[in-house]
Amino acid sequence: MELERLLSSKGRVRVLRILLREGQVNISRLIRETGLHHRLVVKHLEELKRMGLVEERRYGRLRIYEANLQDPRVSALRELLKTLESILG
Amino acid sequence: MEVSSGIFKDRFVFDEGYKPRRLLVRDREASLLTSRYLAKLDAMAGFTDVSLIYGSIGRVGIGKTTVATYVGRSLEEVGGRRGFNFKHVYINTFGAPSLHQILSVMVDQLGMNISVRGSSALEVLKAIVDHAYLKDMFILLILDEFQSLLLSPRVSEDDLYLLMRVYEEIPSRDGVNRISYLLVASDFRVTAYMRERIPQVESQIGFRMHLKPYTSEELKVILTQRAEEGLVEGVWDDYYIELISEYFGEDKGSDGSARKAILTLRMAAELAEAEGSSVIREDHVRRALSESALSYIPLDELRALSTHELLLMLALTNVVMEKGGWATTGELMDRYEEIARYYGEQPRGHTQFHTYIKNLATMGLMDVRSSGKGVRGRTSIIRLAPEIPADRMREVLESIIMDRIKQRPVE
Repeated sequence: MELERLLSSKGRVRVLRILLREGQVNISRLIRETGLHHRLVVKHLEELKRMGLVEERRYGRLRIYEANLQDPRVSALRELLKTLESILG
Repeated sequence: MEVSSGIFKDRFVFDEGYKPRRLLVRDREASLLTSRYLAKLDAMAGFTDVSLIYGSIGRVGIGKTTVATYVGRSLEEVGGRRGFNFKHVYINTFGAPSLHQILSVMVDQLGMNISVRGSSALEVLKAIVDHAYLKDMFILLILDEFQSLLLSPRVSEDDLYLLMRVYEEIPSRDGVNRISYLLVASDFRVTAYMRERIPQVESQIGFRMHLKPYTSEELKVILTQRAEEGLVEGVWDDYYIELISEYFGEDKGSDGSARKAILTLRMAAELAEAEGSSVIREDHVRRALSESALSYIPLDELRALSTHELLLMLALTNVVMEKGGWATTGELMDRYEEIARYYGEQPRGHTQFHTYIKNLATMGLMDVRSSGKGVRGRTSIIRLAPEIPADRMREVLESIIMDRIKQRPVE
């Protein structure tokens, strides 16, 4: 995983933060909360999935995205974000 | 937090949605159900069980919902201690009369953070089943007012089967069933409806529990608990709890509704608060009873009474208004004689006096009881029937008596 690549996009970080906070969400919620365009959210999700940070589950039309909490990178990121958030307020 | 009012400690205790931490009545029923579900969990044979709690038609406030949600919560607690991830989902199907709405509430209460709009029920249910598998979560689905779901035209047999026999349609990835059901109905015909619409589910019901309306003793326990939790110490009195309990108790001919009894207690407390009183008094309780429960002054019956019976009723009403609670026969006799003379009537003797009391008690206008322990000797104690507000009663009685006396030819 390229750290630069992960953190280089505001949108990607925003998507990741929501996923880490909520555990799992569906795409409409992500769109609503990030304020990003559908296409962009999908793009970020694809990227995050490719990196193995996010998992997607499909039930017909219903798609659920979940941060892959078993992955040590994800828990590390979560800690990092949490620390930064508390410092930056 | 509430601003302390002097009467209420915690107003929410009287709210319909309030669930006491400890169940004092119906605790046996609740623990029976809880241990049933727990046994299923322990057996690891999967967790599919259908139980039914039901009451008779029109019986509200007899503890069905309270027992059901209490079972849900204790499963979460006890199950959690044993290392199970347990969740209960409570749905009043009056408010969610279609499969899709039910699933939407489930998704919400399970914290799944997804919107079910645009997805088919089957897909949502798949997501729920999978969610339970992934989180290794056991779910108790409580469907309240279940009879209304059965009668709803928006729910097909297929929907019902899909919901209640989930694992036939959607097997879990590891083959473990994680959803159980607790049906709650306020209509004893619910099983007949089920046999008609979903016989396979009906035959699956492992446990049926019929709840009877509360007796006055049970109501007393419930009200005391609420008073202790919700009212400031010292503003309420056991006697008033008893008054309300007896008014609503099933054994006293009422409908045994804890909901009504609790609301009445709250109203009495609110009346006291509104008046700036520092304690709840008898007149608050009587007014609360009269307002909450369609109390009536039985005018026709009163008009049919003899003048002396009316005077006796007036005497009792006055005693009640002055000191509250029960009056002894002696007190009542004294007051009656006084009032009779005041209206220019010769008071009747003992025999007649007791006949009147017997009559009036039979008519339900007063309650008579033996004094029992704590009073020297044996006497009868008497009070106004609890549903009658004393102040209104006095007005009515006085006006009837005045009419009678006016009609009499002047000597």
